[in-house]
Amino acid sequence: MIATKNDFDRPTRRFTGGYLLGLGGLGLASAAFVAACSYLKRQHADTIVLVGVAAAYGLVILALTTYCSRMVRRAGRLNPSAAAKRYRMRFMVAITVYVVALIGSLSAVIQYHLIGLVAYVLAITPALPLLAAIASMGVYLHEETDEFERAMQAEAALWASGGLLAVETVWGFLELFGLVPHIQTWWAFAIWCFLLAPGRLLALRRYR
Amino acid sequence: MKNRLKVLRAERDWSQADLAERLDVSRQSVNALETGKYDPSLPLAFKIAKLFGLAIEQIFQED
Repeated sequence: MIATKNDFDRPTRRFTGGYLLGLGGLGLASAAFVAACSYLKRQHADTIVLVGVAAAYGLVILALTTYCSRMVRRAGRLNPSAAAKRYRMRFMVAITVYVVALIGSLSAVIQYHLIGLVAYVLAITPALPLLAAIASMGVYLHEETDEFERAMQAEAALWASGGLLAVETVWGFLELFGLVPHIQTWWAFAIWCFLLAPGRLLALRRYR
Repeated sequence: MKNRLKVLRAERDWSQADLAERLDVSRQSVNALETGKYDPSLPLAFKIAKLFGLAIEQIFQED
């Protein structure tokens, strides 16, 4: 008997809802974080309070990353390959290290008013685990033995890259005309990661 | 490209998941192959042919 059920039979409504929830959660958490930092700065709050707020924000980002990763998995294959499992593990470890490094670096720079070379080293420290996360994506594409899955992931990355360029270009000109606030460039990676999920859906649309 | 994957699979009473496991690919991949929406690479085509004990051209044909 020919199996009629396949991955494409499953509705993507739950994925879309979950993804938008994750995206909205990130936006709200970021807005709350910026507002809290601004308020605490005006109040000349203690460093420990600032570190606590940064830690809470980091945990929210970690939870959202985990959640959205699950949503992407649900929209994809039922049984992830060994390479995909290794990739997720490496990515989550990198993000966890990033959160810890960010909180540690921020608190050290604020607490001890560090300047010079040490400040440069501490500023770059949180970026290193994110570089590892980016590298883990490349390693995954190399390790994935399922060529269709690899092609879908590569196309999703291309969609995400195009989306990121579009967002950055439009935002850049809006910023040039003083219509929107400045966005720091480290946001590029987070935006790209969030664009991966719709990129995957766009890549898969031809095969439904 | 047309192919006889669905028929060959049915003859052996395999589900998409069974075939996917034998080819070491995802079920999504099998579905995309069966529907003719994704053309396999030459190595995968040879793997499929070997699994069914047929020549590649006995499984895959031009549109």
